[in-house]
Amino acid sequence: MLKLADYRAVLAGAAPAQILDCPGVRVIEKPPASHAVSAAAEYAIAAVEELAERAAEAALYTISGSPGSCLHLFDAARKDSPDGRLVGPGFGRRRSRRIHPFALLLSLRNQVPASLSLHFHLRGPSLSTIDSAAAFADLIPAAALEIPDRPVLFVLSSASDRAEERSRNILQTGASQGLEGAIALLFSGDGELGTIARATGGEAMVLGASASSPPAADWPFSPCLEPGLGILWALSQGVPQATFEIREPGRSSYFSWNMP
Amino acid sequence: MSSRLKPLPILATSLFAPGELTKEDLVRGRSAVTRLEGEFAVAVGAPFAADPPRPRNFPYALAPRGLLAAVEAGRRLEREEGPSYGLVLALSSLHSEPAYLEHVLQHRCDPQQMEEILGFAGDFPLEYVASVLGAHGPRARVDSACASGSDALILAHRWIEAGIAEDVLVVAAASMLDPVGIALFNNIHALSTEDDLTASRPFDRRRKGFVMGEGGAACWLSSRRPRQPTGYLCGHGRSMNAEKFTDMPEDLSAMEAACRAALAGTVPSYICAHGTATPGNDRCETRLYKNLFGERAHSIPVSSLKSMTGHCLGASSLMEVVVTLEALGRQQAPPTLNLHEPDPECDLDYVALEPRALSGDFALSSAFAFGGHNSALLLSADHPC
Repeated sequence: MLKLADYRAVLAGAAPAQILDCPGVRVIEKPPASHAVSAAAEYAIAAVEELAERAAEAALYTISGSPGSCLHLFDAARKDSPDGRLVGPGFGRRRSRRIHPFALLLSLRNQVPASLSLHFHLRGPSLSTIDSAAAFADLIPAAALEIPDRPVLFVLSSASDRAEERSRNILQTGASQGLEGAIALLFSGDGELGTIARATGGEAMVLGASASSPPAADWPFSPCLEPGLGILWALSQGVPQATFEIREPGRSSYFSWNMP
Repeated sequence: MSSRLKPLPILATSLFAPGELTKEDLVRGRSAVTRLEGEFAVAVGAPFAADPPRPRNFPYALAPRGLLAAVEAGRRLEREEGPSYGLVLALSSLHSEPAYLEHVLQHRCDPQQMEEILGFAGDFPLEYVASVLGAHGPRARVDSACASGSDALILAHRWIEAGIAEDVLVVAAASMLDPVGIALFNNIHALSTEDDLTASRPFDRRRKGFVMGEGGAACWLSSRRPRQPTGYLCGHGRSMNAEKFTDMPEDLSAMEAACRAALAGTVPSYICAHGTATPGNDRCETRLYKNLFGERAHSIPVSSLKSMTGHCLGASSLMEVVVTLEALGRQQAPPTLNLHEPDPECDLDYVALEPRALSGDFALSSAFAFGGHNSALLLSADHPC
C-alpha cells in the first residue's frame, strides 16, 4: 500500500473535464519538437517542479510512454538516399552522419528519469519502466518496500499524440485525438490524501482505450497516463473508495483507491 | 541503506550471446568480435552467429529483432511447467531498428499502414514474451539503458520480497547492432572506429570506445527451492548520478552508494566490471573500486566481459550476471581480452588475457548507464549462510 502525500499533473490536449477542478492539474500547450529534451521529459519536469523539494530523497519510479516523435531527426539522412530508404547505399560512410547526435538521447526511453534526476538532483534509487500502464498496479508493492527508507515519486508520462504515434493510435483505437503529459504522484509514510494498493480483480472501473463506462468512457486515448488520471478523478470527485482496472490490449491489472 | 538481503535463489540461467558464445566460452576467454559487412559506420562488432528465430505464429509482418532476441533468450531458459511466473522484461526501445524506421518514415501519417509495425509498439513486446514463456503473474518492461538487465533482476527480487510472486522470470535483450544503432552511438563518439578485431580493450591504454554487441540472457528467480539453485542474489543497490547524461560523473558518491547498498559490508572476491572500454568509464570505475575498497581494491580480481561480447547495452548486465555465476561456480575469473598495455590510471588487478583461479564466495556485478543509472548486484554461487 502507498499513501499519497501530494501530486501534480501537466496535461496537453483534451483533458477530461472532471479532473480539471483538481488543484495541481495544469493544462498547457504541447511543447514543440526539440533536439535536446523529449516532449515527455519536458512534461515530467514541469509536473515535478513543485514537488521537487519534498521529493529530493525519493525513490523515482517512472512509467514512460512515447517520448515524442523522433522521426524528424532521421529525415536529413534519408533525404539524399538514392533508393528512398534510410539505410541504402552510402548510409554507413556518409549519410549516417547526418543523424543528429541528440537523436540517440531523444530516443532513449529512460530520458524521463534521467532528465528528472539531472534537473532536480535526484540521486536515490530509480526504476524506469516503459509502455505498460498495467504495470502500475504491479509496481505498487515494490515501491511500498522503499517507504520505510524514503518517499516514492511515481511519474507517468507520455507524448504519444504526434506523427506516427497518432497514426498508430487511430488504427488501434479509432481515437483521432490523444492526451499527453505527465502526472507526478508523491507517496510517503505519512501521506494523507489517499491510499492505493494492488488488487487482484473484482468489480472495477475500467481505465484505458476500451473503457465503455464512466468515468473513462469519453476520455481521450492517453497511454501510460491512465492510472494517474484515475487517481486524479477520484481526488477531484471526492470518491472515498474505488477499484480501477487498467485495461490494455494484452492484459488487465487492478488497484484500489481509498480516501481517508 | 546497507543491510544484507535474505539470499534469493536463482534457479536457472540462459544466455543468447553474440557469436553463440556459451557461459564456458566467456569464462575461458573467447571473443565474438568480428568484421561487419554492409552499411555500417564502423568496421567491427559482436553480432549474433545467426538471426534470432522468428516464431511461426508471430502476428505482424515486421518482427523487432530485439524482441526476437528476448524470446530466444527466454526460450533457452530451463524452467518448470506449473508455477505462476511473473516476468520482468529488460528490453530497450525498438524504434531505432531499421525495419521500423524505414516503414514509419515512409508511411508516418497513414493509419492504414501502421498494422505492420504493431509488433514494436505499446505493451505488445512485454505481452508477447509473457505469452511465449507462460508468464501470467505480475509483469513490467524495464528500460534504464545499460543498467536494464540488473534493474530488472532487482524488480523481480522486490516482487518476491513483497509476496506478489514466488517465481519470476527475468529476460533481457538488446539488438542495436544494425546500421542505424551503430550510427546513433558513433555520432556521439562512443564507439571504437578501429578496423581491428582486438578493438574492444577495456582498461587498456589504447582503448578508444566500445565495440557494439547484441545479446540476450534470462534468469529464473524463486522463493521456493524446487531444484538446486545456480546461484543467489545476495544484495542490490541502485542510485542516480544527477550529473551528466552520457559522461561519467566527477562525483562518485551516488555510484558508491549503489555499490555499498549491494555489498552491505561484504568485500567481494571478484568484480565483474561494467568495463565498456570508453576512456571515461574505465578510469571512473577504477576510482570507484578504490574508493569502495581502499588498498584491498588492488587484490580483487576484476574483468570486463565486454572485451569478448562487445557492449550488449540493455542485455549486458544480465549476461554478466549469468557469466559471473558460472565463474563463481567454477572458481575461475574470466579474462579481459586485449589488455596488453594497462592504462596507468587503471591500476587494479584486471584479469588480463587469460582466465585465473578464484577463491571466494561473492562477486560484485555493476552497471552504469546513460542517463546516470547505477545498479549493483552482490552474487554468490553457493548459499552464503
